[in-house]
Amino acid sequence: MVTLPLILLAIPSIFIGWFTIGPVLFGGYFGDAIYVTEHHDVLAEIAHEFHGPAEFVLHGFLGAPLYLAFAGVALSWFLYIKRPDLPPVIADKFSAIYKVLANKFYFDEFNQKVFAGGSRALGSLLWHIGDEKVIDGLLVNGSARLVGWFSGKVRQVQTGYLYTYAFTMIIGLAVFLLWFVLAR
Amino acid sequence: MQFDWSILSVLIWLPIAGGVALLALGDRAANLGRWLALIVTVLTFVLSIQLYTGFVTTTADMQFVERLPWIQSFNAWYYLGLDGISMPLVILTTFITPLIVIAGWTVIEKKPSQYFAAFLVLEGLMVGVFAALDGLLFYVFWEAMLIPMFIIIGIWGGPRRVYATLKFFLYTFLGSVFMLVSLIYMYLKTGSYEIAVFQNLPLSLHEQTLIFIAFALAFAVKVPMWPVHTWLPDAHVEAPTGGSVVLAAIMLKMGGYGFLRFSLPIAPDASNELSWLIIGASLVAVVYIGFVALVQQDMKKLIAYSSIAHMGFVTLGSFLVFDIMAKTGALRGAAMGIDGAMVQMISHGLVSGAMFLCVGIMYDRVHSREISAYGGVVNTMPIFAAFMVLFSMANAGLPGTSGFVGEFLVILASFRADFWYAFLAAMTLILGAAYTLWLVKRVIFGQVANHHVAELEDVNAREFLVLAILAVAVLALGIWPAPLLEVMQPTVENLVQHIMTSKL
Repeated sequence: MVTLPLILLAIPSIFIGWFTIGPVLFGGYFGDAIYVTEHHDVLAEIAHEFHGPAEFVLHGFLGAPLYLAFAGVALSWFLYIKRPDLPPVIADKFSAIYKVLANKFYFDEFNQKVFAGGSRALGSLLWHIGDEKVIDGLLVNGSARLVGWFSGKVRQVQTGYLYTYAFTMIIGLAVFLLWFVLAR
Repeated sequence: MQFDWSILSVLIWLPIAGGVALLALGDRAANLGRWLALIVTVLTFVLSIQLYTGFVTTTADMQFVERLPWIQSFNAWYYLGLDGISMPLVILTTFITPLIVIAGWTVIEKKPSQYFAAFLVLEGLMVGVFAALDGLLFYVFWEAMLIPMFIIIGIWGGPRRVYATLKFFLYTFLGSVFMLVSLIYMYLKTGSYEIAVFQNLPLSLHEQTLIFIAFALAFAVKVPMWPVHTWLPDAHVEAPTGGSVVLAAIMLKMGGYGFLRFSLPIAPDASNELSWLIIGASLVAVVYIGFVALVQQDMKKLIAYSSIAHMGFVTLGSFLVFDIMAKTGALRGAAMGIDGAMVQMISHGLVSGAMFLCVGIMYDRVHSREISAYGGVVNTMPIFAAFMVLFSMANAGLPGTSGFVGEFLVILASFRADFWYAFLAAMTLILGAAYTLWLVKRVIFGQVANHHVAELEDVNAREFLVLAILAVAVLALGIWPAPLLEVMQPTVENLVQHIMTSKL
């Protein structure tokens, strides 16, 4: 089912570059939509060398990339269609290199451990220490506890016994009298 | 434009009257109560549409103005009006409230009439906050709003609701008391409570600094900004779904609105001096809170933390204006941060509301908010999963959704101010995507986790309606934000002009 659309997509993708490379890369296809400063204009440099799609294609034969690509096609045909028994043998012979390549240089594991794991560790640190301990524990509930503690202490002044109040009044009176006299 | 009838008063008092009627009705006729709540809120929304259609987009002047004497001995006026900053927020309020009524339709079994009444009263008060042009009137609406919210969390909330309500109340009240002090100080200087008079009042830098700090305390708690944010996760976790929605969608916006209406225009020089403080706290919010959101195990807590990070963009965008102006001198460029902050507020109202509704829909079925209690929900609730994924994408700021527009504008503006602001702000794109998509992966996708998930039923028509309306709004604002930007433009430009004029 997927093959037919793939074939249909493959056909224009072979030819489309022929017709579009000129106008899109070096022509006015995008109008003024993309602004490039004078000294960053890489495409203009390439444009000096560009003499139409035919020459562009022929120029491709002068460089190594085209031949490397063909070599890749040939090699995979040989290993997976002509001699499918070979890949396991090679993998076995060079098992260390094979493992590194098959695991994509362990980049996924690295990302998982360092970035994902590190972010989670940092997140819980900020959450438990920053939010829960410092902001909520110390500042928010801490100030509430401080008020509670202070009220608990001050509360004991209010004993409910008349003689404590009377005595407090006398002391107060004495203090004020003293202050009044000394201030003179 | 002077309307021949008082549309703003209607939008404030119609829902409040509806709420009082509901309370009088009581729970004897619960079904009648639901319909009454729906009719009143939908009618309020329909009436509020003319705020948009009748809005003149060529002026920064207040529109739909009403002015009546209120407390004459204090020279306080019942003075209402809207400009390009408050009008979208009023419509957001009237838009979200009917959705809350529909979402709570059968879910609320305990005292349903009183539940809906609380939301109706709250709606009127919230419109009042955005529409008030008299400082004292603003303060009354601002504080009165706490009462229904206190009741909503305290009665229909979860097991730790008392702790959460008290924390919410004390936090916000502490902040707003300082605001009252500066309002009174300015009243004593001018003999008026009019906000426009305050905005044009010349103040020394010392006075401005004190006023700025007092206002910032009130608004920073409301937004909430780091480090005064810890009430929000608790309040959200304990609040019923409707309470979470209104809290995230509208009440947080009042902090952002306050910065734009009071702090910046009343104390422009102090704002300039102290903008590093707000920008710093906003950037900490974006990064620090992003990491904290990543490790949450409770879905509501995760969305609450994500709200704090998103609101950090609002405060960041609002206070970038000074740095941009100092660097480029271009008024239009400086306005971009405030544009972004406004779009972000509206967008976050829609997206976070939708996210809390999604969690509510799952909670109604499974009675758990723990992420680990779910997994593979897509297998049993495919339609719901589609909505949840859409809103999650919007939460992560995917282009094409409303979440992208605000974040993009603010990041763009922060590039004009300072590269490192932009670098830290852009961290949210990574962190936001990480915590939101990881949530979706664990809750929605994968194998069916347990028999609760296996027995889930997909959304019913009522839930579908609510989510679909929000989905359309999120996409519409994401694809074509121009109508919103257009109504704001003259007001925002006027605001930037005003802020840039020193009062010294």
